Amino acid sequence: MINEIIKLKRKGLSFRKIAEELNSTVGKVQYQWNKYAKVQAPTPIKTDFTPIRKAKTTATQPLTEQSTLRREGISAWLVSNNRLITFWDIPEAKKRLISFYFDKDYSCFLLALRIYDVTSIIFNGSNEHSYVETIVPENQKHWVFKDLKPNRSYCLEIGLKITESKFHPILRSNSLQTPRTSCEQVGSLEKDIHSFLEDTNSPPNWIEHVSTYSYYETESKGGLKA
Amino acid sequence: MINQNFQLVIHSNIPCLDFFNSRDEEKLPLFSFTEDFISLLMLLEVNHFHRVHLGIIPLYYELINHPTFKNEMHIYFQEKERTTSDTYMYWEKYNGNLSIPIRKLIECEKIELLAAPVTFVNLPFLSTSNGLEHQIKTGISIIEDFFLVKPKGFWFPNGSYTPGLDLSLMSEGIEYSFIHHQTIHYADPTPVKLGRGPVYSPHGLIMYPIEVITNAAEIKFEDGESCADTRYLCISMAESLDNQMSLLGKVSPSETLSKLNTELEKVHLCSSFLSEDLSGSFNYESSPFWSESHFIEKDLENLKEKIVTDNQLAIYREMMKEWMLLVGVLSSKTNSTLSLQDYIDRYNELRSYFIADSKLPSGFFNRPILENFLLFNIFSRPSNERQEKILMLTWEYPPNIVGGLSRHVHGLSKALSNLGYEIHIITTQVNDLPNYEEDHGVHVYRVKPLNEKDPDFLSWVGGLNLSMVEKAMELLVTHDFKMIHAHDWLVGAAGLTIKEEMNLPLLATIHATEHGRNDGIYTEMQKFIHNKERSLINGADKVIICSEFMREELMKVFRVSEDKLAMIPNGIDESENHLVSSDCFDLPIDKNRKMIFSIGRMVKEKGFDTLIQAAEKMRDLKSDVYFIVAGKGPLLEEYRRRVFETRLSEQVYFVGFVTDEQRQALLNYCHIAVFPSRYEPFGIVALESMLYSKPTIVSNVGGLKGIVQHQKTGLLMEPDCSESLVEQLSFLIHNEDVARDLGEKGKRIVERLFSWQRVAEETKRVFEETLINKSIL
Repeated sequence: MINEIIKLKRKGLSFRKIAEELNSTVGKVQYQWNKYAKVQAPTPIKTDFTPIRKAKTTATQPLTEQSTLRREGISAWLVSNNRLITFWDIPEAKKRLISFYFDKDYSCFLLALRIYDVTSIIFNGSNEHSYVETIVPENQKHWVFKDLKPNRSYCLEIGLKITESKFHPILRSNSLQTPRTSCEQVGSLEKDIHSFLEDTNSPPNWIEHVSTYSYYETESKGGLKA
Repeated sequence: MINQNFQLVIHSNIPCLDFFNSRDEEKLPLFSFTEDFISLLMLLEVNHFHRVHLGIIPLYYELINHPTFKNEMHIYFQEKERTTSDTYMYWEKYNGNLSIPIRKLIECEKIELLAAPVTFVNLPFLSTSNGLEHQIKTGISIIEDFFLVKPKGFWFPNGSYTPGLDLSLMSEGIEYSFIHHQTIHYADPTPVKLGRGPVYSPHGLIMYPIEVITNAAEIKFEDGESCADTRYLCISMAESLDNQMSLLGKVSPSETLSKLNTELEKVHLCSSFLSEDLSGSFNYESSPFWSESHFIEKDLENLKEKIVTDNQLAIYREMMKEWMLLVGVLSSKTNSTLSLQDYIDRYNELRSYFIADSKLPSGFFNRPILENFLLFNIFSRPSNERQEKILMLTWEYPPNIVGGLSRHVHGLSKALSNLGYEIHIITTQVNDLPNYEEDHGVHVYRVKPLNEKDPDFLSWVGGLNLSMVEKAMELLVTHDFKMIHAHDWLVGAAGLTIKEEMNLPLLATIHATEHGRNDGIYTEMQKFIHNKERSLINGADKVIICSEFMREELMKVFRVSEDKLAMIPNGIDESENHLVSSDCFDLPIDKNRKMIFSIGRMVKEKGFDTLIQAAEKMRDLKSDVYFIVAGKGPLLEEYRRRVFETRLSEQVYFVGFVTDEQRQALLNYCHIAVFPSRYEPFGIVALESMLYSKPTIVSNVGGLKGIVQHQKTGLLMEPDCSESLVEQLSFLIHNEDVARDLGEKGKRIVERLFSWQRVAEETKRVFEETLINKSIL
């Protein structure tokens, strides 16, 4: 397969077009290409303290490691008051590590998705209020959770069943808080709201968009507080 | 009843697309939208309505100013035979320059443009500050560029809000926005007016409670006091013009929304949506594109640190553009996966030019969209990097000290950094130590396993290795490492994985083995660890050990070929040697006499029998000295008996095994150290006494004679010759100044030879050797 891919790539076809041409999927084509590119990548050569001049390559030359987009992570997004969507990508490196470390082929393990209720706690992998585990198909890459409870915080982990009872996490998602749907749910944040209003120089205690935390990081780095 | 106040937002979800590369049928919705848009402008222009707010995709404002669009819109009117319609007349009146009437309407306060993300993406779906900032700022700047006003209000596409976005908007000078009235109703604490009045978000954005209306007839009027409250309605432009008109008729004179007299309550607002469910935009077909755009967004965040040249900066700008369009098209409900893949392909193509820092070919296709788009807070940083970078993996690093490994990696990395290397260390996060620290060219990253509380140690280590690989892959995006250096099996899996993944040479230092620790392999756990050690040793390009003993062990236990091993003795850290408080140790220390100290295994080759004979002669010379000899071994009892028999019990003490603290106390207290060995391949104990500035006498054999230069850095004696030992001892006792000088010089030579600097120099040699071998293979 790789020879055809190289031929078509040299003609300047995109991965999508190559996949169409070969009656395959973009993922498979890209995987084969990356594997090929890795073998072709120039090996680092011993140097003194001057860096190797990067060869002026054109885009059609074999890609080096950094030329491939890094796909790794699991994300969770709320799509309605009680529903979230999650998607993930487990990088090959982590699959290899798992199968090497546990000395078993990666495909021997079942892929499992866990949703944890982490309301008002700092999750450490085992202090959740409750969790639900779902076995998902090996090549599944997204999932929808419905009927979430209001005013709760959730986070997800994708991992492997190392044994029937043992779950080994590989990736952990961001946390989300489901919206309140009635006035009875109000009040649980009272303390946090109070302390945030007292000191707005550090991020609040409730879950916020990731940009909040980088905002506070740059602010404190910039020494604004001083 | 009728005197209730209304404010109106008109919004639209016209699809985001790259107009210039779209098929005709994809453009149609834009043309028909433009007709509706013109109708709205006409309506506002001729009637005495009060101000309305407009929340549409900012990209559209750029588009209507583009000659190509104007041209095609013209053709659209002709083809649809609308050239006699009022909208066409209006269009002609302004020569197709819709910005002119919009600007007029802004001036006479009939319309207020709300800022929005430039490609109308659902903001909660963005995962980086970089992405968020570019979406928001570019949206604002388009309005500023074309209409010369600075928008104060913001429209969240689909009303999608999540806590924290208020902060991002505040940083861009936005003052107010709109959110579903129920979200305000259920705010924490509950606002006095429930969902009927504006509030401050936690970060200080004014939020107006909005109701979705499709028809003016839907508005229910409220009784009583609340009538005085203003109500905020929003209607989609897609609704019929009649509906819009009847609503427009109800709008009351606009208060300037951001300037409220009353102090508002500050409350926590939850995530919020205007539409019922956004999961419609996710399906089996589109979800891979969502994740791809998510990874591209993160990629852009990482790559901004890697921009060195202006060429890269220019390419980065194009990459950012591709992403903004991709995520915008994805957010539009009508998306064809075909065009989505094109954005991704183009992004990846641009990316390869970016990484190689090569110029885009002259014919490289350029999208004539977002032409004035600027990058924010992104600069090229000319690199003055001269240093080679090494990635080190170790499970412990100061201040986390479990065993000797921690100090070793610390000493080595500092010294390597002094040699000009840039060292990046990934280690375990414990006790809330900083996730990242930099100390004199040594960068330390701390990670912990996801299963940080796993009671099963081996699973925990597995989790740690996963986290290390993740961090390493992240670092590899922006750093060109020359080599990975892993310390012991605990990080072996990560080291081997990165080696394979990145095609980098791997160096492993084996500090100890499971086999050695347990004198064999017995349990399942020992077997597991033993196997991990084997894979690391086999998989590494070169293995460093710290002693002859370890060399032999590895060759014996793992059958490693000798040329794969490099022996680099540990550095000696002098600071460790001054921690001694000696009085508490139960040892026969006599402060009135001079102590001569020796230590070693009680075996024949260490020559302690020579020492006993010398002690006898010293007694006969009435010399005021005594000997303490530490160490255990097969000959210990024999030596003790001989001391007793020769009536030397007051002069020679064989104290047996001593602890580290006791050894250090003895080294600290003694006047002279003696190592009368018959055979000694290395002799690290002599180094220690020299490091304590003690004049040291060693046999002229093996490794010892290489360290001690007679009468310069110590004294040499003939092995197996008690007369020779007595001669040297007497010399030191009678020449105290010389003795002190020898001690000082001895210390200096040891510091030089066995310093971390020396270890680093030897390690550097191993690095270079490994790189050469790797490039030959």
